[in-house]
Amino acid sequence: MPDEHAVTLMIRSAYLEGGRPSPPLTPSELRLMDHHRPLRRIGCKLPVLLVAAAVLIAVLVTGTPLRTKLHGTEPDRHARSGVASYSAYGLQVSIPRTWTVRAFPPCPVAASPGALDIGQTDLSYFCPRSLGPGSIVELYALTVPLAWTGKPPTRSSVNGIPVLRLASNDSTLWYVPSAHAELVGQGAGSKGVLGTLRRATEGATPAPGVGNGSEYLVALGRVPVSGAVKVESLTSGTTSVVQVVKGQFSFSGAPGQYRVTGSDGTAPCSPVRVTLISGRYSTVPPILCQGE
Amino acid sequence: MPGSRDEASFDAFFDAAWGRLQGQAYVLTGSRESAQDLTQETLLRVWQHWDTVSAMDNPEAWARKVLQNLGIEWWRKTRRRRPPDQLATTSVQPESHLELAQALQSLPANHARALVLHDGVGITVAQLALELAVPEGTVKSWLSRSRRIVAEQLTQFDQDPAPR
Repeated sequence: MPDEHAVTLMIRSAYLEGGRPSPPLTPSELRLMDHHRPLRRIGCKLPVLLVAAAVLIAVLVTGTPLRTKLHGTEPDRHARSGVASYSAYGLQVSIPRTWTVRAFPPCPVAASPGALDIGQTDLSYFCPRSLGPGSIVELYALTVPLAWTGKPPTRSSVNGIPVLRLASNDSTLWYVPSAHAELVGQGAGSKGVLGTLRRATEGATPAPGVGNGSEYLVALGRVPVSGAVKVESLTSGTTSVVQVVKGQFSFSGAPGQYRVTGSDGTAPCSPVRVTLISGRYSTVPPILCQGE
Repeated sequence: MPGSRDEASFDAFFDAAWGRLQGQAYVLTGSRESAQDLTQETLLRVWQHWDTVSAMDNPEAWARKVLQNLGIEWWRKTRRRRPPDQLATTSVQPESHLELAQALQSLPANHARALVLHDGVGITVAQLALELAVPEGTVKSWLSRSRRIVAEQLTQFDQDPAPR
């Protein structure tokens, strides 16, 4: 039988071993769960069904070919925490798992309980603001130099990241100089999500990138082709077929290298390669198919 | 009101207390995943009451008590979900830690708490006496008696590894 001292040693050893793993989430991510909590406590299926229905409606209403639902390897560290983290531009934000995540949505639309939009389309300048109930946080890189109008921003730091803040009555705008990116938050739940901003970690799911390309039949001149191209991820080996309309195509995928192969009847087309960058547009080199 | 709670002071508390609470949770459950879950749940409750808890002399003592209660609840649910003889075999942790956690369940709640906090976390008898609101002599007696009971339980597990 172990003596009293042996029991003490066993307890001490278990305590030291158990205390070693670092927290799977940050304090700001834990606070997000606080807002998210009432759903779980009710323990009833109805609220879950309502959220699922809202997400489904949002997907049906706002869906476009370009919009991509974020997915990928589940971050282990958040697997049971009720919080999911996404990264782009070297930054990371975390959201409750009940939130909707979209990459390059045509227009930002707040969802209930919330939506995280990563990346912006070129058409977003024409989008109206404050659409829909619930909350929304947008994270996107700027493609032009920053220009402030009106009230000067406040300099501050969020989890060690310097930001310039500009808040109005209904929204908060943060500019992150180191990433040349902006975060915009609207709705009650956005503040908590903005507070989770930090430098990207491996545990976060990287936002996809978008590749824009063109395909031509080359004979005496260049003729735009309509049809399909095969897109193959050189990282995961997965392939997909993307429609080409009047020589133009667009696809999105996880960051990494892709091979794009065109086809135009019997005309041989040289495959091209492109690297997709998280949250950004990349230009695919033109696919040229040799005609007679 | 979530907005009125002091986030900066909670962040500091979270960073300082996480490892100790998780260690305590691991001793109680013998499972890494469950220890992480219990610690997270404990700190969530701390945050929900942060206005009150942060004003206490020893906020971590409050957190430890919450954790201990969650640990007891966890064992109750675990026993209900899985037949007792499967408890050890379904864990990926070294069996000794699971057996230790099981042995601690045979103690009265306060005795187990004292033993884990003293022998594991390293809290002194005097501090424990304050935290548990009992005389120091009582704490010492609980500790000694609890260690003997745990030792007996562990021996029994060795001799009869079947259903428990």
